[in-house]
Amino acid sequence: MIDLSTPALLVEDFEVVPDGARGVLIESLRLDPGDVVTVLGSAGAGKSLLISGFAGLVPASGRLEVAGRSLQACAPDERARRGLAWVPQGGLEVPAITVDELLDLPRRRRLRRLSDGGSGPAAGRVWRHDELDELLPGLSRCRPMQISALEATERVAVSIALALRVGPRALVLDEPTAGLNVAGLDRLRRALGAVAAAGVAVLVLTRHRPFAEALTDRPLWLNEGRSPPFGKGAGA
Amino acid sequence: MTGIAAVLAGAMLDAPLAALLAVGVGLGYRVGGRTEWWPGTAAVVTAAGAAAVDVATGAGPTALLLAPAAAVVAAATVVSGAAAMARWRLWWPEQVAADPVGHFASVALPLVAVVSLVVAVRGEGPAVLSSGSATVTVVGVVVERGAVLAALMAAAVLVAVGLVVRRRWWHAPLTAALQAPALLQRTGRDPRLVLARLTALSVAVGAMAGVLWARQGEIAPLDMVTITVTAAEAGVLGGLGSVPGAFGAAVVLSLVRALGDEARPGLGALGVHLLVIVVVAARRGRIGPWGAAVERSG
Repeated sequence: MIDLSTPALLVEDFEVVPDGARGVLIESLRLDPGDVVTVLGSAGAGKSLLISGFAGLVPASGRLEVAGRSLQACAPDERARRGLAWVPQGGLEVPAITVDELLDLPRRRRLRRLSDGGSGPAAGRVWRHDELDELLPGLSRCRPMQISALEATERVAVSIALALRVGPRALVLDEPTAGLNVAGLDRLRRALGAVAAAGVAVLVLTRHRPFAEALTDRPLWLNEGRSPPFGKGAGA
Repeated sequence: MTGIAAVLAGAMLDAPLAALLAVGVGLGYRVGGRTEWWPGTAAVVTAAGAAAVDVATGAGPTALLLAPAAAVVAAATVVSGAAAMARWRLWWPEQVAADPVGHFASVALPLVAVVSLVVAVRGEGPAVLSSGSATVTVVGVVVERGAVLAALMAAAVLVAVGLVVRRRWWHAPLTAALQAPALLQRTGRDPRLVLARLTALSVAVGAMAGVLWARQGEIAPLDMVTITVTAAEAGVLGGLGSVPGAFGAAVVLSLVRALGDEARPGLGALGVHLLVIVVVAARRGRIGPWGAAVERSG
């Protein structure tokens, strides 16, 4: 059961500053369940840095919550268990396993225990294999393949499928449009729409303005590593 | 003829044990490859074997300087498993299990000092031990029954380990933890715990090999050094972490060692070392047809 009163993703005064280099700041951003927000940024604006900060891969300060639970001080795997899924640029690293094996990596029993309560609201619905095959055309063909044999666009699809297998409350994607043609962009837009319709908050970081505008009416901007104040509830 | 048959029989009985320890070393090497200091992890695994010999024989501190590290890691892995099941936060013993090398100095060295002091005070030294079991005759060759049982048990454990590491629930997270830990974290799993599981298996396999070896026959001072070196060589020759490869290599090396020692005492070990050096050099393209292939491809 999704609690609509609790924001799926809440970010306040969130700053990523790796090794004293130029940082990325989000003053305020709130996504409720089912929201789709796009953040536009040119190359080097800090999109990948921001998603690394969300994932806990680089140091960051400020408030970051998913479904009412703070993710600060959590390791990346704990963040995933608490309902944050992220798709980095390029989609996937390449271990020598098949797509099918990859999609079975999340421990469903443990995630179900978390989502059932006990330790509070956390992971959302875990998508079944048949649901993923329907959502992402071409995924079923990839299942027996080694990850290294996938094309770039297929990797993005598999990466989204993996994110949904963890049971996310919020899904953050970094440049998911890279390498996609018009048909691919349309499929991706529809897939993300379906994910949002299932109650998952979707945040897309991209420099592909037409895609961003097709997803949402008013994309936000990430500007030279310093974002303007997004405003309370912007995009929600 | 009977002499050669006895030598071959002895080699065949040694092979499963060497292979078992080689698998332990190989699995530990994979953890060490991730922690970027594999000799430390391999030492911990083989130390577990050495410690097990001490425990199984009940006397003779054959590898006391290494045993405490094994004991610490083994205990820490047990704790880490319990912690993972109870969903505790990572705490110190678990961190030790996940990164034994990083905690080696802070954990093992004080223990080594204490144990060494105890040994010095008690005045015990290494002893030659024998299982003294009854003998049986197999195809005209007289062998100790304990040795046969140890070899059979080692072979059974090898098969079991080989079956486990091929299972999807074992090898997929492990491969991801070793090759793409950030990807594994996206699935909500902690790569350190997966590696701790591998460490636990490698330590257990090493300990099992040590126990079986101790029950096989005579154990002399410094035997664990010889055994460990042979096992490491079998692991390298057979492909680190490969169970069938370790077994095949252990058979070959045991035969070379036994036949060499039959020709002249000490020649067997020399033959094993030379064989391993030649094969490793050839694989790396230093000599022979492999070298030519490397040059062509380069």
